[in-house]
Amino acid sequence: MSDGFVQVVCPGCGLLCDDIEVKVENGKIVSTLHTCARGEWILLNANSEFRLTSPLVKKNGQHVKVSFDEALDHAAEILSSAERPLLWGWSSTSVEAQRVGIRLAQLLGGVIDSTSSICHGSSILAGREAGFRTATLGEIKNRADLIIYWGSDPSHSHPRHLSRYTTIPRGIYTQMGYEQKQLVVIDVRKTRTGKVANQVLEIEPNKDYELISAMRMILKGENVKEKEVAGIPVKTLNQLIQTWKTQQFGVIFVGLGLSMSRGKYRNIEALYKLVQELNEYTRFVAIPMAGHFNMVGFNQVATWLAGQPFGLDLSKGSIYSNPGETTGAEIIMRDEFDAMLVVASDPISTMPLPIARKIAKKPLVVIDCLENPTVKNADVVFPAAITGVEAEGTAYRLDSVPIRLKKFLEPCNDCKPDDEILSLLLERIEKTS
Amino acid sequence: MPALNAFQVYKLLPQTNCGKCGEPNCMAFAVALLGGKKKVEDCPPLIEEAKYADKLKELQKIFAVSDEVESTGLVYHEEKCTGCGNCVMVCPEDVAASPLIAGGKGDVCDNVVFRVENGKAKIVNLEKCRRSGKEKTCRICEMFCGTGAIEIRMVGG
Repeated sequence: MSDGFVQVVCPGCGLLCDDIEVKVENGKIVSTLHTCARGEWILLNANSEFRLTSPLVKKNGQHVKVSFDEALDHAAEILSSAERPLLWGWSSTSVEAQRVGIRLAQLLGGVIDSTSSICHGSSILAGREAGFRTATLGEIKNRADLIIYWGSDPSHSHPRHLSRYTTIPRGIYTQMGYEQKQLVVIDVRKTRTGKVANQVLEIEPNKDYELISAMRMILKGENVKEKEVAGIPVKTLNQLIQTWKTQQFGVIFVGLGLSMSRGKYRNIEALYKLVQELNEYTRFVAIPMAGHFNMVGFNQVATWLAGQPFGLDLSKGSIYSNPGETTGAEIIMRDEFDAMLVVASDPISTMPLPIARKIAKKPLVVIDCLENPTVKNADVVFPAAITGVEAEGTAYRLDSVPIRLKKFLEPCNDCKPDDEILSLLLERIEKTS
Repeated sequence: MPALNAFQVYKLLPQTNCGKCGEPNCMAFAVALLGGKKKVEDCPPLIEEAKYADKLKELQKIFAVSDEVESTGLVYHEEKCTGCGNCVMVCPEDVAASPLIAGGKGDVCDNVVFRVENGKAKIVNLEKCRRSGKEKTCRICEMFCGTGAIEIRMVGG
């Protein structure tokens, strides 16, 4: 790879910013332009001192450096001898790797689930019940004049959300930029995004469903008997709905505050219905704020290959999916797995302690680029090239637009792209079984 | 909306109301300090007495601004910045410099005030800032900075 400035797509979060410039010297990233702190951190992982450089196998409780071949043998043995392996992670890798992952799950007769089951999976379930009203971020930039963040704080999760796509940029029909746009933040606490918003509604925790229901009632012209709903005066709600109705194009960005608080997918189902009803007056859409850069990608791949967005149980020879039964966290909690393959995820540090303990007790194969608690507990570790830096691949932006990630550095030492490692593993398992 | 108020500054002063600085009391000195009429070094006990060394250090850190910055009153705390780029996309001078920036994308041009480099905003040309010219009322970057990294201090009233 040549030195100098390269135009890249940032694999930092679901926004996949495509205007990033990176300066490369001697095969290392020297500086980056236009990245947020989050993207910068992900890109600079390539230079990290915690990079995994060669395959590791645990022998007598110690990690020993081995050849790729030997590691593949060990991993194939662990996975093929398991009765119901769990294949977990997948949100921070390319669509190509996810495809191979589903084939691997089919071959092994295991369960494959992505982190979306503990993230925005509930938004997909809600979409199935109520229907999606969606738009691309480009359309939102050019047309939307009412931006609502509900239970999400992009200044933490997607730092460039406001400046690239929603409130600030000037679009074709929003030439005045922020002066023409309304920013409303609905959250249980004061957020950084709230600091720059035109209106902030601080609601009581776990009362989202009541609030949405009250809004739907007001929209239908019914009388809300209470004076306050979720800590918001009904008068304010009346005014709010009246202004929302008169806007040109409204968009609600749904965060984890809604999808993972009490009510879970019912909250979002109600919200989607509200959005649907608002469409009688004006154009309104709702978009879940996917955090990992390719979380939406796994849902897409799983849906086109298996018809279900996540939590695929392939152990019975047919496709079965029942969120709550075949999703990762629940399977681990009930001890219904006997080996685990983790790809581009760190469940031991992100999951609650009881789940993390159960993962650590089972045979564990990990494909990751950095050292982390899951890697420390793994029996076999494969060093992966960072997708979007040392490996190319396709990823889906949070509005389900596929974007091609570029490769601009050579992977260090023994690192290989995720899809290549998984294909090799698949071949090895096919050979041995 | 400055992130720092007079009371917070007052806490870092000796609080003896000695009057050596020329102000009637320490609170008045704190207000003058925030208003840019006084400097930290104008408080003699703070400099002379060793027991205030920590407070002096803290105050000097807060008020460490170059002469250039003082003309606009724009103070930038890099450690708070998340590189969201809000300041780049709202600054009227940046928007005028490049149509790409107006549309929300990053662009490399020299005649901008802000640019995001290495995950942090950076002030490239402070002399381009409207506050250094006639338009002293512009504080749009501060308004859109959610983290409080950009702060505009009213210098000289």
